[in-house]
Amino acid sequence: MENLTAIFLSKAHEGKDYTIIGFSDNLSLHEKDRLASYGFVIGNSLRIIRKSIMGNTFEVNIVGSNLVIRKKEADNILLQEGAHES
Amino acid sequence: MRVSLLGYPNAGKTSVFNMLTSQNRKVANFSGVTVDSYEGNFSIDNKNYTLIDLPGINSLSSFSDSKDETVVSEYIQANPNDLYINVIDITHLQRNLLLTLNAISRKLNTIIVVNMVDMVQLSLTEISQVQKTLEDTLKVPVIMFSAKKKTGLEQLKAAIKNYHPQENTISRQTIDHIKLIKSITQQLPKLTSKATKITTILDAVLLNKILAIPLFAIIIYAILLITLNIHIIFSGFIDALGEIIFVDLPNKYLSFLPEIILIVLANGIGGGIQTMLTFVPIIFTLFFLLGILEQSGYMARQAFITDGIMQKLGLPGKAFIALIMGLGCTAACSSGCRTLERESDRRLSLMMAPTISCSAKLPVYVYLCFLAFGTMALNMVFLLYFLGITLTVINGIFLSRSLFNNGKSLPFIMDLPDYMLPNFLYILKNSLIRVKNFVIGLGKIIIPIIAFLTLLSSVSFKGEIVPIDSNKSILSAASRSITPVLSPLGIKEDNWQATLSIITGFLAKEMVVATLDAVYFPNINSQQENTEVLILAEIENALVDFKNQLIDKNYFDMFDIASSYSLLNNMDSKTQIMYEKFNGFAGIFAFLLFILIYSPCLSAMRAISLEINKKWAWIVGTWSTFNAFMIAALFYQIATNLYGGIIFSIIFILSYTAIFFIFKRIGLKNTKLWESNFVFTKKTPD
Repeated sequence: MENLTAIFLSKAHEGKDYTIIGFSDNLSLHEKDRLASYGFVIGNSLRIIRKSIMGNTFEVNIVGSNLVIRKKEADNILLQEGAHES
Repeated sequence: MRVSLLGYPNAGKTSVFNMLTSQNRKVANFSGVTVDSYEGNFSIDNKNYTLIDLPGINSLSSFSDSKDETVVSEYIQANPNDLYINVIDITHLQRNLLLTLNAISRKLNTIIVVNMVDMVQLSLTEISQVQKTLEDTLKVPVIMFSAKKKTGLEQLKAAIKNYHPQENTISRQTIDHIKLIKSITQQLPKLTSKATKITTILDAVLLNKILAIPLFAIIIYAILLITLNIHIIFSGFIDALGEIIFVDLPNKYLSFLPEIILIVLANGIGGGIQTMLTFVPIIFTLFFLLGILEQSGYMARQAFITDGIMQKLGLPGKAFIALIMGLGCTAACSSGCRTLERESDRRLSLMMAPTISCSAKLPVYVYLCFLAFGTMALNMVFLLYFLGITLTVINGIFLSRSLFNNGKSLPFIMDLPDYMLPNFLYILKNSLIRVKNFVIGLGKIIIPIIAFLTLLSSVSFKGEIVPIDSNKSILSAASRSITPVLSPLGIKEDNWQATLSIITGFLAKEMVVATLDAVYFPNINSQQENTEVLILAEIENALVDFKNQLIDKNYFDMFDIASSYSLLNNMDSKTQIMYEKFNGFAGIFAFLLFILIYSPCLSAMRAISLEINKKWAWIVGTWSTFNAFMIAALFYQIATNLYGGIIFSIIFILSYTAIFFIFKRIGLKNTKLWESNFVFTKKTPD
């Protein structure tokens, strides 16, 4: 059975695929726009490559390339396990 | 007609620029952030075109705190009718297409140049397949290109010449772009390059949870070792040679000139040139190493590792290496800060830099610690370094919560580029050019000042010529008048030489020792000098020393390296004098603290003024000198005097509390000012 729980990116697990299902209300329109230009939009999938040892930075593979985002943003991106084409 | 190059950093825009305009513009993004765009010309069939090379960007969004992105976003809004050549890196096609679709959906006139085709193993059929798929889906001309193999240029020119806009129905929504990209990718062969595969393997090691930090520490240590070794080996040699050429030779062969002119010319200007040239090895080495780190791609990894800690200081991870460079030279640290996108980050890093003990301070520490602390000397030197780093951290936290407390920062998202073998020759040439420009620019400022100070230190008010250690010279009188200000640090009135060395230390930190040694111990050291300077013998000595430095030493022990510093002779007789002059260990340590913390030298100030502006350089200088005074005085008072210590501690705490709140007010008000370059240019999102 597929796990349909939503978790924030900061709690996601290394090596797994996820689909973005939402953003928290904390984010302003500006911030969402910025995230969007890197591919962080609802419906897109990503893979967590690794987390830094202290858990402050995350390397993710999104739209085919590797990026680093911080916990501050990761706390606001809501994910669902599995890479759906929605 | 105007044509503009648009694309991600390192997609190859500048290479395309060079090929079209047959110019030899330097490849963009060498040191991270290019702010200028380059302009050139080319012609096709007698029709002239202007070509603009825009900075590489990650997003066309107008909400950005990156100078590059704001520049490009504003440019596009101002020039919607330009023909935009979107240069794409085929090895990261999906990501690059995000920008492409953004540009196309904004109805910009676009031609796509798919660059780096040589990096992915494709047959001719596959290359056509890629081209056709992209053209059919995106409805724009697509040129398959390789800047390295010089293929695609003619097709590009033809496409430019024959360009006519086509209708497209691509939506403005990013999620639709992503779906489109996915469907395109499914129709294409695999486009992974060897570089990407190697990167995945290397990152598994270099960013491995257990190995990352130890490996990082080793790399930092290697940087420091290389820098310190080169500095000690070469600057000693250059110093000796410089003295022969610029000081001794003029003294010998221009002795017909009036004495005062000879002094200014040889000891002043000549000495100034000699001192300046000693900077060259270390600045060159640091530029070179910085270039390698950036080009190889490790810089981004380092930011990944250090970002967590740096955040506590209010700085991005990228600043870490810049600050490490400060251990070599504060001026190079300023250059390293160029990679930070946010102006406030650059300002903050530069304000933190002075307390990182640059390599020029090492001889000062070594000299004074050996004089004052004997066998404990090296431990004290280590303590000073440690204190410097601690103070840097405290300074950073203090400032980031007060002066730089400017709230909202846009999401930090950083690309991890593929690892790349650096082009050493290119970095070498580039570093040489940068050093040359730096030294010449610095020379114009520093040499007149040194000449002037030499003049002041060689004449008395009556116009007589006096030896440099005399207390009759104009400069010593000036130092004496300032010395009372430094009495809380334990610098007594008759210790004007200390004040003088602080002043000369502003020109170059090495001069602190040179001045101290010259004014305290002129007789002891000048025993070797005689009027008949045997130039050839001197040159031979310099070369022998150089050879010894190169061969006969331990490259890996930093303290061993440091203690080979040449002014450490005749120590016993010097120690007693110093002890008296400075009022004991406390006085000497307070002086050391002051040197550790106070204003960076002129070359660093100049570097700061080049990165930000002159005003900021003076603010950094003033802030660090103020801190130097307060902290050194606090130490001295507590160490020598109970009541003085208590009173000064209270003054200290009150002052810094007041400053904290004042800074906080300034910081908030200035948010608009500093970020005004990057203020959101549109009120509503599209």
